[in-house]
Amino acid sequence: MYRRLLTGLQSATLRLDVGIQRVLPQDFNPLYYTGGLANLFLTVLVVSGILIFLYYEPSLEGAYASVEFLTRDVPYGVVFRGIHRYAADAYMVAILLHLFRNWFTDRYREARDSQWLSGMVLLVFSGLAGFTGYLLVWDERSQMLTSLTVQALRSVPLVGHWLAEVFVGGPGVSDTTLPRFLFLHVGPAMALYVLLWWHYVRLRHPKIWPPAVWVLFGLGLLFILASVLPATSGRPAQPGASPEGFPVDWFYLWPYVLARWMAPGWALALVVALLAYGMVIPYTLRETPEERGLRALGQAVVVDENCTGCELCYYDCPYNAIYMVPSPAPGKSRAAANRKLLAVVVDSRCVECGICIGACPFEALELPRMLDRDVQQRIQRGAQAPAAAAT
Amino acid sequence: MRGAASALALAGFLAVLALVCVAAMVYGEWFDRRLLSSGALGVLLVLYAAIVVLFRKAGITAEE
Ligand code: HEM
Ligand code: SF4
Ligand code: SF4
Repeated sequence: MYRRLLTGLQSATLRLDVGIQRVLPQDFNPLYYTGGLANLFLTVLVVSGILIFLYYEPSLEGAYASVEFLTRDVPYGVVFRGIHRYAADAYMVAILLHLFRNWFTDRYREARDSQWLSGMVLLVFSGLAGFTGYLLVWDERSQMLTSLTVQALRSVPLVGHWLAEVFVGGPGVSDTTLPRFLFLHVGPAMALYVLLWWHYVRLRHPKIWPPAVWVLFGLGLLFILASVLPATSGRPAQPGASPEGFPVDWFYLWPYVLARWMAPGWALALVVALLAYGMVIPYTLRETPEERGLRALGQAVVVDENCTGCELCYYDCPYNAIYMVPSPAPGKSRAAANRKLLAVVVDSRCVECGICIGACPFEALELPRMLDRDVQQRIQRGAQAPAAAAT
Repeated sequence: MRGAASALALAGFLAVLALVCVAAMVYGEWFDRRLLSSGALGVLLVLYAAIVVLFRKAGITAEE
């Protein structure tokens, strides 16, 4: 059932690509660059964030006023604030598209689990940085979110009270609270760049930037949104008040919408459960090569006697799965007789994509099971041909 | 060929619109209507994106 659902989603994703490419040239398909788009919006967030940070005062009395000052009195301050907010939304949309696309096109299994796991940790840190951003304004919404989060954290068994103290920087909201929120906003955002290193380390040619057309469009859209729907604050937070409703921003605050119907602790438990499930996705439905049958191509194998050590496969393998080692002995073919290096495939990294086979000019790489498959298909075709001729 | 000509014509029209946006940006900055300026800048960038696509359709730019 689950497997059928995934197959359906996979073909829907591919059909969507075909549809987009009727309108746009193939290399402009934005769904090819969802990671790059996330990176674009992250860059915008960092730049606009630094500008906002210059005016921000992390204190209970000063925070709201400093944001209002930026919005009203600083030239284009409202635009930068808007860009920061909408870039955060666009960033989350891009990450979610990226996540679902990689999920539905099966790019998380086997050797790609490193990218998937680092992606999930990126998601956690992105969510944390996004949500704490709403607290910094210290308006009624911030106050409400703070109190719901404290309730949720306190309901965690054993360590709940300690977590709540870490969150607000003391036993209750105090002068240390806003500096703590600022840290919880900027810290995870900075950590994203370390995590991105983990995310890219196994990829040789990650497309980390979208094509110019999408950079222009993305930036344009942010400017338009920031001007047409300027970012505003709610009413300032009142000490001791418990505001009733607050406007929610779905992309980051959906767990708080849930908290209207269930205890905040349960909403937190749901978020944790979803993330935990995300982490084990690469290890669910794993199939052995036997179970995959004809779909399994097997890891690439170097044909020792033909390899000349030219390194072309090493540069082309997208997953850094090929290493060049000093050749223990000369190859057998004439071209390989004087080689200094030999290509070696690291099985646990190879995703069976076959790109190295196209890269090698010396027929020194093969996907062994692909050959089997080819032979089997030919036999099948041969078996069908006489039957077709007879009808 | 006809497709290329009409793509170029449309790109030309969008370039003129982009100039209008520049005028709007200057106007907005001069008369302290900064949301107008930044909105016009946004439209300008989106127009440029459309022009990039049209150039490709007209065969002026090649695949990277
Ligand atoms: C901060 C947010 C993120 C950024 C900036 C980002 C960026 C990227 C980039 C640039 C690539 C290379 C794409 C390519 O070369 O085509 C990539 C690959 C990948 N990302 Fe992310 N990513 C982010 C979050 C995530 C998340 C949340 C997930 C899912 C849990 C994820 C899963 C993957 C996977 C599985 C690949 C490998 C795709 C493949 O092997 O073709 N990423 N990411
Ligand atoms: S098939 Fe070749 S190119 Fe593809 S991952 Fe394996 S070693 Fe790298
Ligand atoms: S491309 Fe072929 S010949 Fe060159 S190093 Fe790789 S396996 Fe050897």
